[in-house]
Amino acid sequence: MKNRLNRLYHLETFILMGLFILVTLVLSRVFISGRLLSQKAQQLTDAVCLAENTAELVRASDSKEDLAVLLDIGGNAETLTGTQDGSVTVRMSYDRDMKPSPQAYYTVDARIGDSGERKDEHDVAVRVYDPDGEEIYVLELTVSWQEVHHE
Amino acid sequence: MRKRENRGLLALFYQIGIITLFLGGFLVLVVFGAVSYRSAEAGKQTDDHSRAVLSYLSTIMTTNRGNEVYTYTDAEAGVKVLVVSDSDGENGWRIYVHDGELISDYALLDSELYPEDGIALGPATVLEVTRIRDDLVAVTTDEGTVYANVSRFRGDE
Repeated sequence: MKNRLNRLYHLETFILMGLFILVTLVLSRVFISGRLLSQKAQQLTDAVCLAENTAELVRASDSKEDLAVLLDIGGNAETLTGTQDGSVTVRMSYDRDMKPSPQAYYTVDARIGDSGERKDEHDVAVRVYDPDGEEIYVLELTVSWQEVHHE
Repeated sequence: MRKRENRGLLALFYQIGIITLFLGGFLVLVVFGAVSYRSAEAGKQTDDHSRAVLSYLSTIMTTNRGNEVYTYTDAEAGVKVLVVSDSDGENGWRIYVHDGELISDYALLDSELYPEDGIALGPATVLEVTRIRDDLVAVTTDEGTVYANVSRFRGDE
């Protein structure tokens, strides 16, 4: 009788410990995912800012070549050409604080292609990638080079 | 008799061990939760603040891109002021650092600065305005840099 009670007591203790470990694992996962979500929100804010800045530089430029020069801040950009559709992609790299840097934390691709409607119109897609190469944000715009005049 | 006493002691230690394990685990869980919460909350506050400042600057500059944008150094306050004029040319937004805060006030452009009546955008130590071209300006604060394509920029350098 006493042995049976002892066994039941141990069984109860083990079940309780199992439940406790399970709850601990679930809660730890919730806390970690909370941290990751917070980090992703910060990355999204940075990505929106980088895309908007790139869009403003696109708006200020008057040709693909001019844009490549404007986007290259301290050697953080490279121009990728030779794609089949004749588009040009300028790839820029920024550090964690969104400062231009050859060491990429954020990678921003500005792809300039023809819109197909008017000769002077170009479709521009700005894509921001996180350090794992995952796309965070896309901003698409159409720019007309002829409308921009520098003084 | 002695053997029974030993067994009782062993059971007591066993129970104390189990309780300590549960309480210790609970404590670690609470501390981990609190640290995670504080870290997420701090990240959220930083994120909210940088979003508010950068979006405000970007919106003010781009919605008034056809108007005059210039900087000057206010001799009385000793701060650099970024001015984005309104369409009437008489009023405008003046953005500057005052007492560790980034302030934006909307007032007559030739009036003195009124930081008390302005909107405090958040803590700031830096406001740098760099002319890249006549129609392109970069505004840098502690939160980052905002580029704006404006019709014409006039710096005070």
